[in-house]
Amino acid sequence: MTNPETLDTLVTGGGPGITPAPAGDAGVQRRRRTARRRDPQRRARRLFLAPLTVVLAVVTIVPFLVALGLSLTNANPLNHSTKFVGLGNYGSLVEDGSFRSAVLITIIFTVVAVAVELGLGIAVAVALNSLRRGGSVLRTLLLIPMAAAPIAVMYDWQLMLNALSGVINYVLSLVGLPQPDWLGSNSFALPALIAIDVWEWTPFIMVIIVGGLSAIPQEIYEAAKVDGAAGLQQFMRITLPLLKPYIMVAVLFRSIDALKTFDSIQVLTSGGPGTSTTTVNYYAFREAINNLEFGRGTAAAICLLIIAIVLSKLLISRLRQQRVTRAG
Amino acid sequence: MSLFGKFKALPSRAGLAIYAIWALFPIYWLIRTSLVPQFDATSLPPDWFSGLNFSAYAAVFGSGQFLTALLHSLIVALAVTVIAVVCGSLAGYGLTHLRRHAREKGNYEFWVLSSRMAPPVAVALPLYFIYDHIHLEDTLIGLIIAQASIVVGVVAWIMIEAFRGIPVEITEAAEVDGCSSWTAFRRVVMPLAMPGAVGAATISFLLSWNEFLLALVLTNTNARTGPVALYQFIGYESLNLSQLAAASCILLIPTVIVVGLFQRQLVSGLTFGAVKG
Repeated sequence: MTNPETLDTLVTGGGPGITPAPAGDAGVQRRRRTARRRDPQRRARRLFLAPLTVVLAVVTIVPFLVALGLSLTNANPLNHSTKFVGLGNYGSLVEDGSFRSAVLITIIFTVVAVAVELGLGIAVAVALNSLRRGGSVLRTLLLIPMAAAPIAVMYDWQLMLNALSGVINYVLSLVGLPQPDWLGSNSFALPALIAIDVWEWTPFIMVIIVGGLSAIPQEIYEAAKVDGAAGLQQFMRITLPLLKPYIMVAVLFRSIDALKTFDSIQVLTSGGPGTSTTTVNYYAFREAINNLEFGRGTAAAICLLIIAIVLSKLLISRLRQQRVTRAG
Repeated sequence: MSLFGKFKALPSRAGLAIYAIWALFPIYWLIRTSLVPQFDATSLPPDWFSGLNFSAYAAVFGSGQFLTALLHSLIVALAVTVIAVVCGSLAGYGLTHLRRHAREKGNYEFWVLSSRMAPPVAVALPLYFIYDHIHLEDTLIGLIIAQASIVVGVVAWIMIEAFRGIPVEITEAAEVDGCSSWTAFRRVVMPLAMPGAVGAATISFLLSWNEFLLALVLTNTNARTGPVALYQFIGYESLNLSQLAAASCILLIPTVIVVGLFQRQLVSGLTFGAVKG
């Protein structure tokens, strides 16, 4: 996932162009030869790419067109006179205060969760790396939150976070700290969900950073020590910059997924209390599946898709910037 | 390590220990809840570890429905993994080793990435309609196709990385020796990409087994998978918490085993091109 060349291609968007055929008689011969050599390759390439293209089309093209179409109507299975409403759904979403708040909550959730996961993931990866023994056993154990089925873990968290009978509040009461109604209070529900997301996905970032750390040759640190660099300096000046591509890829993938968080909201809070944990994805789900407003629901989902595309283009262009400053 | 060295390592060791406790406590809690009698599940002070009472597991196994759902999950996950790895490998090879002199834009790869951006609702609802018309609703095949299309993006990304890490000269040499692209792929290059493929397969299995929303929308009584069965557990058994915990633990086991077995390939799959260990 973090091979620099792929990032390069994604970022710079090009490589050496096709060398133009030389002119003249010898040129014609050469052109014919290269053309013949290129053609079967081009066909082979298309064949190799075909299965992936077909399977991807199932999710990116076909449903997208259907969803786009749906979002332009007021489709509702209970209402048999579906009519075209153009951008009416999108307009009503923009005017809807609860949708705007859903956008805000989605952004807050994503930014805070990914930031904490990044910080924690790097810290854990660095700490793991310094272990002489048992590193890989511990690593396997720490991967469990990520491997566990979210739906299974959600009920577990629900039990633990129960205001009256949950073990978390019990432990807090032993220490004399306040025991809030985690999932039932406006101010604690979203932080609780963020904490659960951090719990579940920090291993993802940790794994990527562990890989990144192992790519840094030890000689760099030894040279730095000779130059008198201390531990923290080593980290800031050597480790962190070298980890940048890995960090960016981890943030890119994690952000795209965090925008779509669903399982925890569905099981634990149903978007509440009130609308304090309603993200755009949950909003879309509720509109489409619970309220059976297919048109509005898919419009909201497409809004989320737009947010995701904008976010990832932003992240990729930051990558591009970073590469330019490094090269220059 | 010198004594001073051990002392300096203390904060990071301590921090790691705290993190490990935080990461594993919910798992311990789930297991514990599954092993205590129902009425003890939420009693305070909590029963930290009283003994091994497997009655909850017996009840869950006794219910054929949950087992059938697990079987469905297994079939779907395996099928999705095979499809994803095959498509991803072929595409990864084609993208990086064939027609190398052509201008390579990042567009195809951005499109692959964008398949992960699709909010599940925007995929599930149209597929629900389409499946209704072509009679794929509530079938395993329908779910396999749907899940494959969202999983294949990650897998293809990993395989593109993996193949990019294999020198193109190898394919060129094979072609000079008279291999067709297919033979070069099958005999020469793909074997080199196997570690990456194993890592990608692990991730694919994980994603498919744990997938919830598509399964919720696209299946009903016939093709129900594990996560959906768990979700509906609450309706059937009048909220027996130990049984819910037991079912959750059972659902966890396959993915934990897979991650444990292929942990190294998982790590290298996610960071391909750089890992040495």
